[in-house]
Amino acid sequence: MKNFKTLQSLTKNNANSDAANIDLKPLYDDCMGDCDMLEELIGLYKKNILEFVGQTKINLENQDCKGLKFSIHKLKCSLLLLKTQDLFNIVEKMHVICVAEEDTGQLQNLFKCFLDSYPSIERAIDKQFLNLLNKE
Amino acid sequence: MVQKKLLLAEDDELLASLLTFRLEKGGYKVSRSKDGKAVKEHLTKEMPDIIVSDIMMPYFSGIELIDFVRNELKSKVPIIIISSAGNEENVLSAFELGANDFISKPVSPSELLVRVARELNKI
Repeated sequence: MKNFKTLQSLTKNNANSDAANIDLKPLYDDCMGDCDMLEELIGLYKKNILEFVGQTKINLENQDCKGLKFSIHKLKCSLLLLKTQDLFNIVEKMHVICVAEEDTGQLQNLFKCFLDSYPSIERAIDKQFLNLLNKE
Repeated sequence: MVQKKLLLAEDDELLASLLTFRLEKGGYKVSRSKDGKAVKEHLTKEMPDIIVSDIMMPYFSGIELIDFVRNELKSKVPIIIISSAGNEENVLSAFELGANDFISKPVSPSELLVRVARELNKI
């Protein structure tokens, strides 16, 4: 029951909070104001998310914690670069469960939260990118 | 002015693209390798002026890479390691094997540029 509550508190506001907090400006600055570069990086971010989703489905089906840990590790940097902290918190929690080798039911729930949260974040990224383009 | 050659060993395409972009803007000639096997092949053909490498890579880790460069190739080329938080044990091993510096993920391109310049100035 305690774990369920933790899961709820971790994910309750995720769907909208990251989307509301998306700020591409730091990455735009890292790209020295080059929108083509920023667009390329956003594309790679989406690709990394897709790869993670596909890989995680397989890893969860096979109960492959080692594989899952590797996928999570690889995704974390992308999540931090785009400042999608809530998605980062979800995968971090998944990582902790993997390390502790706790039940995969929680992992499934967290993965579902990730999948539920991501579409609004992607829309927010696209919207903000368009805003940056229009400001140019 | 002769461009300094930098080998970037990083399998995360997003981070590698961002760093390559900024390093090239900073005047470096960047070669990218996304796994340890490719890094090894590259190094046996050509030694760069500096190596920037992730610790966790497929086939051949950053730790193995340092060992290979220092003990097999007998090179003192500066090596900067990129590592995730919580990977302190690997960072210590990297320094013991001869890494010159390390930087945490997510890497700030501006910080990396400063560290690369600092290592190259030491030579």
